[in-house]
Amino acid sequence: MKDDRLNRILDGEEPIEGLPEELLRDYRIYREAITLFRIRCEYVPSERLMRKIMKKRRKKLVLSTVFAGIAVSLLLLSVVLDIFPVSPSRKVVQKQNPVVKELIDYIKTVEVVSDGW
Amino acid sequence: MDGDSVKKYVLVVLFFLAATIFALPEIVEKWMYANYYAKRIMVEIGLKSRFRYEEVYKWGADKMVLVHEPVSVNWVRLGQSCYMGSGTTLKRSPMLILDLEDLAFKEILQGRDLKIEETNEGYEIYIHDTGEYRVLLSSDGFPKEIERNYMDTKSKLIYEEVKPLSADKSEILKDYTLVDSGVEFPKELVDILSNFRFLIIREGTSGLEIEGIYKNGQKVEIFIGNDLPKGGLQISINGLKIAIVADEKTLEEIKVILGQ
Repeated sequence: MKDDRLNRILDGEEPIEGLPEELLRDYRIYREAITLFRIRCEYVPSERLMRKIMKKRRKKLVLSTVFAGIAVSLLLLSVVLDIFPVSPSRKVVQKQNPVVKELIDYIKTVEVVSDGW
Repeated sequence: MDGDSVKKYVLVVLFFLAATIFALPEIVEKWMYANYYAKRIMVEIGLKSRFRYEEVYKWGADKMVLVHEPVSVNWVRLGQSCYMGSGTTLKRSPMLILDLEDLAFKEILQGRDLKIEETNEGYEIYIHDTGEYRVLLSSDGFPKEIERNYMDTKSKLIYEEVKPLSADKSEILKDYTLVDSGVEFPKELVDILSNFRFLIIREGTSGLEIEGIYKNGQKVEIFIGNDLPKGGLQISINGLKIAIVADEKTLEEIKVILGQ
């Protein structure tokens, strides 16, 4: 009942004059809340604050770009110079010439099928 | 006659000469000259552990083996010529391939101590020399089991489905092509490796590493490729850099083989 009347006052259907003290207090609180909410929604930071925020963001962006660049460069350098350690078997495959490769395959097969000499 | 024919001829003569000189017992001769087909398993436990499952066709001294496990490889030995491959085209193998049975024959023909016992199921043969051999034969001279104990390594060939082989070599080999151009394997290396009792192959940082037990029971290591270890005998064969590491006496023997 009390809420219905307050709604009607807020909608301008009833005059504010002659309101009981309790309802008038609720009306004021409500108006104040609405005003604060409106201010909050319409808030635009100052130009100075905006500049400060953008400066921080730009600094982060530059740093992350620099770190990503360094990582990519290191990766490319390791591929070109082959500086990362590789397993011995990979090293062997890289170094083997076709004759050694054929020899290895042959002797490995002989090791399996032969029982000695 | 070319070099191979001479070798073949000399081997056949030596084979018969040895058989005559040592007057081999009848059952051993039966076994050596037997023609048979068999399925067999090879198990080795010791310095290295190995397993093989294969089919074998034997015509006297000639042999064809179809290895099914752990790799699919076929090899044929006709006299002193050996061919090997994974399909039906078999390339000339620079090294002679011998199985436990062939090694037992070799020991017998070299006149090793031989002891034969007749059992209810056939014969039991003991050969004593560089390794202890124990061979179980059926009364027809077909192998049932061949066992070798050498340097704490036990190798055993277990035969199953041994059947007399009436088919001729040409009949079995007709599906295979034997190619005389083989693997480029330096002859010097073949000569050295032919004196090994055991081989363990590794692919190390230098390339290929062959660790083996030489015929005198000493350990020999052969490194082939780049970044060879310092010391030992450093040689270069057909552009291949090889280092051989062994005790002094064994290295001297190897130098003789290499003609150095």
